[in-house]
Amino acid sequence: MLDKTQGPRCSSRPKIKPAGAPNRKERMPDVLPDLGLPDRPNAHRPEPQDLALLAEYAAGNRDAARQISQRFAPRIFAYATRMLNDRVAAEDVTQDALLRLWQAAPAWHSDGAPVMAWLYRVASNLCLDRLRRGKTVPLDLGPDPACDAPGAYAGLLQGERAAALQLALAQLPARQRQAVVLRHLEGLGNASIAQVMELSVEAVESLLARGKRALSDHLYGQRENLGFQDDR
Amino acid sequence: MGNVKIWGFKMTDSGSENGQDIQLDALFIDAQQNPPVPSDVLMARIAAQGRALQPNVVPSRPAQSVVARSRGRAWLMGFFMGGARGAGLGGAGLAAAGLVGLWVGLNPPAPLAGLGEALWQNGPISLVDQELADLIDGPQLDLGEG
Repeated sequence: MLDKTQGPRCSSRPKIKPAGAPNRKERMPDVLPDLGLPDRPNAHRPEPQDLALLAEYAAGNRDAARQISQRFAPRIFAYATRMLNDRVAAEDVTQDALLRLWQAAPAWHSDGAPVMAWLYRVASNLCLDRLRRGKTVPLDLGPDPACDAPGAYAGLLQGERAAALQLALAQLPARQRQAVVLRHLEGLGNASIAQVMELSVEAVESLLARGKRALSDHLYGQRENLGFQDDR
Repeated sequence: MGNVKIWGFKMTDSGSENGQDIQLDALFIDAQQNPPVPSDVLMARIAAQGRALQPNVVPSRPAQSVVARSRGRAWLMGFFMGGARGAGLGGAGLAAAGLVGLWVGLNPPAPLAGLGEALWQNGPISLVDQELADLIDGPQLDLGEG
């Protein structure tokens, strides 16, 4: 049975050639599949650089491991933290997801799934496994800003909003949470989310609609604390 | 029913979800601007794990260098292995003997180390002279006795 945490299948034989030496069969596709969200400037874009980095890693370039870590780990950590509401568990998930990337890199198909989408899928499965298995520890949001610091109110309000959103997300069913986090916090398009979650785009849209409605319901009672006014 | 406001945003009869979306979007934007950040320790641990599992480890160089080195290695292998294929075992033996000779020349075994020094310090002539002198100073042949 296919282990879903393994992500897309990779052959046992290396298929990636070092950067700059693609052959006719293994050259990169001209059009990469859509992964990124167009509406966020820092959204991860699928780039040939991802594949080139994996090729460098497979070829033994020592610096490639550091570059791959810096490129992918922060996004996976943020995603896992929002899914699990637990920094420690998110660290474990990030390390496990990257471990699978290290193992898969030498046999990576250049025409396979985009690296970031593959990582999101692996991390998703790891998170869902943890959520099925047991409890999570409340998120440590870090120290509150000092009350006499400039912009302290704005900082406090921002912290309140982040905490409220995180708690509301934690109330959602796991698949709704996954869809909402991927769409609205990680910045993926619906087609990419469908690819990560292995669902149809319509199913993703349905999850998003239900998830956002449930979030609104959870947050409505806190609107004044969050700096929003209800002047109906 | 006219326009109403919810959470401070105007919304119409047909767009009640839009009103909520706008509100949620404000929270999403806040959250996007302040993502959870991994610790330096975690980042270092992940990179170290990657290096530990890395195949074909070489000193940090661009991939092109690796390709070039591979080509050089392939040429050398082709040279020797091609010789073996073309000339049979004789060619392979010749290649092996050449390599061994090169190796011994560059890293002479201990018993030969003194020889090289003697050769190049005193010169070949003085060595021959010394050997002759030893012969002369050694046990004398009594050619007179019959």
